[in-house]
Amino acid sequence: MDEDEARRQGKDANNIAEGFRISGLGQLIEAGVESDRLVTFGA
Amino acid sequence: MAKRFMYMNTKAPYGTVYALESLEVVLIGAAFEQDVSVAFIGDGVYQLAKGQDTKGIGMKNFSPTYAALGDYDVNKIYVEKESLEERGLTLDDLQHLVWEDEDEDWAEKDSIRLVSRSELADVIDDQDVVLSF
Repeated sequence: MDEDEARRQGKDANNIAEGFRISGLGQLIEAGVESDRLVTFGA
Repeated sequence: MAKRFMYMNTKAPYGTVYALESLEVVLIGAAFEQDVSVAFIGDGVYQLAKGQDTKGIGMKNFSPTYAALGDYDVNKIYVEKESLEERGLTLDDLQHLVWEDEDEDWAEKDSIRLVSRSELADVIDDQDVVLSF
């Protein structure tokens, strides 16, 4: 849970590691368009 | 310039969420006007199987959605020949997916390209981004 989501859910802390961001499918495609390399894990 | 995106489907349609998630990414990705290909290998070929009936497993049968890919200009759909053969399937067991070619008076054309494992390797080699599911 990131800071925004924690606030939305009324939690007083977040637990996402530094440098990471929670985002959507559109951002995934955008990352592919804009990056030299896109590396995915888990599949 | 548009990049070449390939969505690689490797898993059976139900039992995991991969197939449905992949389809969702493909449809969202289509809005980005990139050069899109979709590939089906291994158990992924079952995703395109005709006549899917999911009543027994209480899941929604989302396979009719594949027919919409052509409307989203997703018309390069690669199916690996060996994967079909290993499962005793032929193209006739899969949905007939088509798209309409604007440049040829909307002529209806086949979207599925049956390719060998080594041909598919060459196609993958030509991609900028490959996302596997």
